[in-house]
Amino acid sequence: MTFLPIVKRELAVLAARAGARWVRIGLIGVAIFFCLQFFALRTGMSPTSAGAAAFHTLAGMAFLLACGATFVTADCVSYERRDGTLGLLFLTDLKGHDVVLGKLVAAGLNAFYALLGMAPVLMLPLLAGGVTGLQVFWTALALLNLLLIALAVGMVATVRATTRARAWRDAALLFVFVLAWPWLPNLAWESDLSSALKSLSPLYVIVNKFDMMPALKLKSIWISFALVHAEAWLLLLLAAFLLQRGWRDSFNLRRVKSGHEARRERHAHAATPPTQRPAHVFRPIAPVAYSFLRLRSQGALAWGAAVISFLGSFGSAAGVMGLGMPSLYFGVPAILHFGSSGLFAWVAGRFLFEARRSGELELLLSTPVGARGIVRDQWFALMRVLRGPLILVVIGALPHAARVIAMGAGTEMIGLLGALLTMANAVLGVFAMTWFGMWLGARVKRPIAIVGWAVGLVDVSAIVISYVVVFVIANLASPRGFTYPMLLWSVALPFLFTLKNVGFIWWSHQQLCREFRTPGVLRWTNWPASWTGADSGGVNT
Amino acid sequence: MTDAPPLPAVQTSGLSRNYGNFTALSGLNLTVNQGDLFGFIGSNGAGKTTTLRILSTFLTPSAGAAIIFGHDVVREADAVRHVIGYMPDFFGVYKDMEVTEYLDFFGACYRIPTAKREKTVSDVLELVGLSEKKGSLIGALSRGMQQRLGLARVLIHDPRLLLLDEPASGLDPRARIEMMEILRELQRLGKTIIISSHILSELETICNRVCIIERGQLIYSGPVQGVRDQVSSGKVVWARVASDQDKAIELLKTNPLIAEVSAVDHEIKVTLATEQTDHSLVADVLVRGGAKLIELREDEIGLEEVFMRVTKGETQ
Ligand SMILES: Nc1ncnc2c1ncn2[C@@H]1O[C@H](COP(=O)(O)OP(=O)(O)OP(=O)(O)O)[C@@H](O)[C@H]1O
Ligand SMILES: [Mg+2]
Repeated sequence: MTFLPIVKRELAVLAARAGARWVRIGLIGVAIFFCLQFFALRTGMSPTSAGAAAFHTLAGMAFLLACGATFVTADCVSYERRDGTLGLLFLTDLKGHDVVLGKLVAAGLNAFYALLGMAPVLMLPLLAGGVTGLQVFWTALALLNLLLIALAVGMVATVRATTRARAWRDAALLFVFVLAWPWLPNLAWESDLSSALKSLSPLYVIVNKFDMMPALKLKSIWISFALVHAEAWLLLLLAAFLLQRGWRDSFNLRRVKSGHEARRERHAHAATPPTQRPAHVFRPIAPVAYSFLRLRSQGALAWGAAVISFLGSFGSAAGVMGLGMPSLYFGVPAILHFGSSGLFAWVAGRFLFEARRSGELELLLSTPVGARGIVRDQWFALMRVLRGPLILVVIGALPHAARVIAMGAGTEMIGLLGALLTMANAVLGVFAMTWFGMWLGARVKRPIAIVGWAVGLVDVSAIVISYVVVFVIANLASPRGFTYPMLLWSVALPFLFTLKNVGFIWWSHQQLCREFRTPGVLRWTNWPASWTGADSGGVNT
Repeated sequence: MTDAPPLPAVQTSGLSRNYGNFTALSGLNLTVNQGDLFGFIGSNGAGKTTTLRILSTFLTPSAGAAIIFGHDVVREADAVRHVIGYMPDFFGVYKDMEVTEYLDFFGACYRIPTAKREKTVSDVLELVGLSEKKGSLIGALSRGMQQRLGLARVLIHDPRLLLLDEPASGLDPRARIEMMEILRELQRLGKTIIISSHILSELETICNRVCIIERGQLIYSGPVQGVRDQVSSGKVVWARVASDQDKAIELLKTNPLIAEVSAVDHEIKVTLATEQTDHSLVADVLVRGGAKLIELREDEIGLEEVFMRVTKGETQ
């Protein structure tokens, strides 16, 4: 076993990245924030139920984080394949299992630390009561197990993939499969066997640990825990085997091409040039918009983001309206919301980011397209990608808007205004995220920075600030009571968000134009001809 | 070691490799002796990289075998990996690491004990002339430096055979010369080196043996000088006489060792029949025949010309 050098290397590289630390700190901050709100906002809960609510919220967040860990390992071997370093590793004494184990330990340590950072926060609900030590113990154990299997799934995906997009996609699909397949037979026919099968899913322990635990159930939980644990190691074994057998694969390809190169090549060899493609794919448009839309799975990503946003909005609406467990839904929708925001930012920032990397940007800047064309056409293309998904986002915001109107009983106008603002924010929020993401795409060095900064600044900070404002105003308005002025909830807060969104759009736009030294794009006269009627289809001059 | 014939460093027999139904390498028979600085020459797509990858166990041959210091590259891949150092035609560096970190990492992967590693790392850095860049981030190194770092990595486990795929490509003339100096030094240290290149003249001065492949087939293998000889059958000599050019031509035509004689402007172009004869024959014939020889020169065939003739300018 020679896996230690790999662990050392990975940890050293990660330590050199300031981003990783900030992500961790940010996570803990968010955890504390969501935990404290139950105690601080005086929601009228007893300390015990507030404790339980906080615990379930934290558990829900940790659950999502552990699921997300699959992406941590998903590109860890494939990037070496792209860079051509993978083969060099295998020239040394390293074997497939060394590489897999080394990468797993490094990634695992990091993810583990992130989860561990939440542990002190977890003490708070425990102290407040509402959860038992046993419950905390099982939750922690189940989450660690989930973490392990998520990392293992990522590893299986990465040992076969070459591009990052592919690795992430494979990891996501495989992970969903690993979570869900044991439940599928149970849907078709219920028998002892099919329900026993369920214990193969990492979800089994997580779902069941919330219930009371008689001894019999405890036993089945132990069994499920052990089975899932074994499953994770089997997956790792599989990854090691696949890697040992397939590390040469990259050399059977001439050279692993970057996404851009591959696309350009496909484009060049395509039997039908893009201008002859059917109109429903897209009409001939400006070259930048074309490149933007050619990026792999932009549409899928945008739809994914919209679906996540939809789930988040619906979940929080359901939670607030008291359907199901409000506590459980409180932090999870926020995480979903952040996830969707991050995806939107990535969809928007990706083009500039990858074009900078591949040198395409410099080429474009030297053509008549120019800086203005780059900024403008990107926005234009982005709108095409976002059209459909935005509708879904807006639908997701409907329950919220309905709630605001319902709250405004008696003062219909205010309620209506609030509802309109809420709907507008659903769209403006995405715009803010995408503009900011575009600007980040022109600046940052790593893809995760686009997501991190966009979510951190546009979403988290704004929420925190608005919470503070609400907190202050609420306490000023009724120093002892819990009742917020209805006006505040339904209008002032959405209005604040609208301001924030517009502010971010305007600011990112200014920054982007300054970055490229080009006059504004958002002015009506500068919009693409196709928007204002006649589609010139040509290059901007 | 002197009594038994020394083990060849590399011996291939009928080495072939197909990609799909395209044959990149067919029936390569090659012997590289220990201590050789062996030049591996071919134009783009000739199959150099393919061969080196097979030798370094990155690719498996479709047919044939390759033995490196007595170990088969397929069956005893692990043993082979210990005696070779392979530098691919791309860098294969981690841009986010520091120079010493990088070498230390690979040292650890080769299980060099920690105590010994530090010294090894500084030794190889010294050898490739990167000592001042110890703490630099690799991404911040220039291309030439990254290439040298690649060479340093190859040396870290003290392999007996170095397989270097175009180590001098992309280097400026000065860096090229320095690279060649390093290789010579390594040869002095007893390493066997195979270096691939497109450029014959680049290798001429340092390699003691070369081979030329074209379209996956071996065209020549042997000493550098031999390449020239192989193509110089039909060597051309130009002679100039003070007067009576026609008589001189008649004189030359009678000699059996001379294949062809013709007048070109005021010079006589003489094509010799065999490689073994040289231009002294022409002088001899003319002087004996009483012609007043005033100038005699041999057509100098440049190595590039040789290369062009050998490969017939074919690329894939
Ligand atoms: N993975 C592959 N799939 C298909 N064909 C390949 C592959 N790798 C190499 N080839 C083909 O094999 C032949 C030899 O390639 P190779 O890379 O060995 O050439 P080379 O001599 O190293 O050329 P260069 O001087 O350009 O590096 C080429 O015709 C190439 O197209
Ligand atoms: Mg090559």
